[in-house]
Amino acid sequence: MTIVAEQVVEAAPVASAVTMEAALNRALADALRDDDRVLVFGEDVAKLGGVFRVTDGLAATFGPARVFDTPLAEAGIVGTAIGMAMNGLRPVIEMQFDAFAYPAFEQITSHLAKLHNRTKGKIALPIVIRIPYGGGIGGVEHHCDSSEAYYTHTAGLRVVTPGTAGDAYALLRQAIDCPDPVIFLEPKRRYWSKEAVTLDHTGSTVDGAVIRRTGTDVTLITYGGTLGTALEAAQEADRSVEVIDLRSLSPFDDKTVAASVRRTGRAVVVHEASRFCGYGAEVAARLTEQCFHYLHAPILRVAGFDIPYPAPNLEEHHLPSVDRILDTIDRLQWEDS
Amino acid sequence: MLANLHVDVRGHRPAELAGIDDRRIAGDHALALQAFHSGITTGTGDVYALGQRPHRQPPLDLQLRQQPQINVVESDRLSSRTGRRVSFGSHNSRAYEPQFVFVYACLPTLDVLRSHAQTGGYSSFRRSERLVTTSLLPTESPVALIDADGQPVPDALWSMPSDEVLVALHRAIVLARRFDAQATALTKQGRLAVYPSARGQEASEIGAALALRPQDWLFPTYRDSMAVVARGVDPVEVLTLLLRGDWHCGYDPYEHLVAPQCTPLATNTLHAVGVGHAATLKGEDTVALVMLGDGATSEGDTHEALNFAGVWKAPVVFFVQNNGYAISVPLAQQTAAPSLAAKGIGYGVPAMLIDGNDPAAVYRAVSVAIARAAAGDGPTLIEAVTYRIEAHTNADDATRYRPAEEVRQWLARDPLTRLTRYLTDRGLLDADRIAALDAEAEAEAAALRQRMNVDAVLDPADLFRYVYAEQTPELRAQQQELAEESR
Ligand SMILES: Cc1ncc(C[n+]2csc(CCOP(=O)(O)OP(=O)(O)O)c2C)c(N)n1
Ligand SMILES: [Mg+2]
Repeated sequence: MTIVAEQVVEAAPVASAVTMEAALNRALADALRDDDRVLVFGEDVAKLGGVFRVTDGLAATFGPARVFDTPLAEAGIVGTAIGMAMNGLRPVIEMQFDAFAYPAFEQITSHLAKLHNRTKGKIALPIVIRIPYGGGIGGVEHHCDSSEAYYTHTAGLRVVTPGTAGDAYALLRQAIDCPDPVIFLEPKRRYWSKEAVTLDHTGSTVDGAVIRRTGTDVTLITYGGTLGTALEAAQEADRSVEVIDLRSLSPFDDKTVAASVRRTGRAVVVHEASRFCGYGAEVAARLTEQCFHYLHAPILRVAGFDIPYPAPNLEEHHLPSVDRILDTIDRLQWEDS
Repeated sequence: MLANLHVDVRGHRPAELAGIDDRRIAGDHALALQAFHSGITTGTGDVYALGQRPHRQPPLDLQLRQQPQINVVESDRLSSRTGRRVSFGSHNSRAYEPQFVFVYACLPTLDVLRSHAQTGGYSSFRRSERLVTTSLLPTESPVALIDADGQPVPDALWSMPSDEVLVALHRAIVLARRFDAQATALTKQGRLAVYPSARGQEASEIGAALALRPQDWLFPTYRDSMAVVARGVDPVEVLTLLLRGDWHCGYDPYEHLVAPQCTPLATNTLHAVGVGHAATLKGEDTVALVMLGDGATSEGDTHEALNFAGVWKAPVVFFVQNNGYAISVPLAQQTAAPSLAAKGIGYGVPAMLIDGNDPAAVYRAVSVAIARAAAGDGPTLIEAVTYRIEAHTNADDATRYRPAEEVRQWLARDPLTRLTRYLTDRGLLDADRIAALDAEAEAEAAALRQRMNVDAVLDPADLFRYVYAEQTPELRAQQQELAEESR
């Protein structure tokens, strides 16, 4: 995956409206079809098709040697995937929910992220870990974590998250083709978002950031679950708001993002993960380093509070809302106000 | 194992036994096995009514600790399905007998299970018949082929490896011991940052390494430099990088099929299962042998790996070197299981308990396990009982946690002494040959010393080269930053 700077997405030739979930399913099916080294495994991914049905039908099509259920143990799933990759296969594995990937943390940070470096590139681990993440779907505790910063803080991992169905397809295909381990974060609340799009991964690469909506006054920088909220806020705002969908959280596409911020002179980072040491802290820090003389106001963050993820009936207070984003835009030291 | 059963009815045939429904046997059997596996005796009363779940546990102080006696209890009842007499093995404490008994081995139920399997009767809670076969259990005491005095063990469980193999084992052990001593010496001279010695464990290290076929993978730990070198990896590549501190792993894992020496305990067990299962999926004849210590068996990854390997029937050998300690913590504080090998049955993985100071037994056991895996019969758990003569590493002080007398006792069970004696007695070794071998080991050590005295030229740019397959712009910038700093 190479980073391509600053692209404005043209409306793709309309095929049919697909959900992100269906796009992911197609990406897996196409990858399994195109490369017989690709395997899909995890908890309940075969017969059931995954608790979110992302792997629906794959076991029936590709058989139990390519798509299979494992015993219930996340370190086991990641650890054995590492061994399989050492022996020439390309595992695409599923963690059932964000918080249930934590038992695999040691395998991910101590081996998955480091074996390539440890062996000076002799061992490559082309593994994709798919993790449904984030809240906004009324999930109970342990089913709504935004765990991206744990992974982006770990050198050796690539971390990507699609915000649209079209990107979900292309990103997943590229992640599977990537020689590095990729943490593929699937924003649960966008699983059912529909988009009219042709599913294609052969054109432009999408692991750089993309400008979803152009504007001149302020840049909203977001990804994954809050993309929809940010776009809605941009629509509502009485200023001209540019919205950037990061897509690749690590590596970070400095070029696209910094160019936008230099143009607008103001920036707000939006994510639902907690603010303290959250991903937005890094974004704000590096943009300050790169764009200080272009900025008319401090870079602000709209993030989840620094609390454990709330129970379903309270989550609306925690998640960044359109109002909260608009209020934050208003605080950007405008000369006219 | 069945041969070890001491048949003793002793008249306390419980009343409940007469009325049991044999359909309940398997479920209780599995629970009893779990209890056996964790070293916990469950239950009160004469024997469990087999129709009940034996989930009550006796007070802690009443739990069994000694090796229990095994009784076979027979009932008069005929199985409604097979027409055979239903009989039960029971695991029985001498001390608390007859109060604490639990049913644990039940071979005739295999027939019952089979008939039920055919009718679908047990399909919901019985995964396979394998669990009930006592062949999964290790022997009660470690299997040896050559005893501590260098004498062949009469009526040993396995045949002796060939003379050629024994001579090869002897040579490799002599070289390994000298290599190990040299590495320890290099730490004292400050040429190595750290070295975990395997002195005393040569039979396990070398016996396992030499039993591997060329196409098999070895997954070693930090302690297993001897095995890595015996597999053909250049000793300088082993020592300079990980242990001198020039890089994390110095050899190409694919050249000799040796994974990097693993430091996070037990994590490599899962990698071995992955390599083995991938071999199965690809139709390759490859077995993965993973080494781990007694302490590492307590880690969750060991449990997950044994479980995955059992379910997948993966071609993997789990080779546990029980050297008595995890740094300072003795085995008794690590587990209540009757032996580490006994844990295998809980995963449906057959296990062997062997004398890890007997090179012949280690070589034979690992060969059997590899042959079994290669034949598609799945994983084996081997516990090799051995002892670490040196401290945990050169930085450790073993006198703080173990008596010198214990070390002396284990020195008397030395693997090299016993193999030398055995081979000499058989005319396969003589003083000249021993002198020639010693000279060869000395020359290798001298060459190693010399090569280790050459400082490697380190390039800090390497820090940024291998994090990803292709360098990211961020890392390119950081590499530049460092270069400018050191200009
Ligand atoms: C996950 C993990 N926890 C702790 C340690 C620190 N540590 C290194 S070796 C060791 C003892 C291991 O004992 P054992 O498995 O018996 O192997 P031995 O050193 O005796 O060969 C410990 C606690 C580690 N390396 N990895
Ligand atoms: Mg130990």
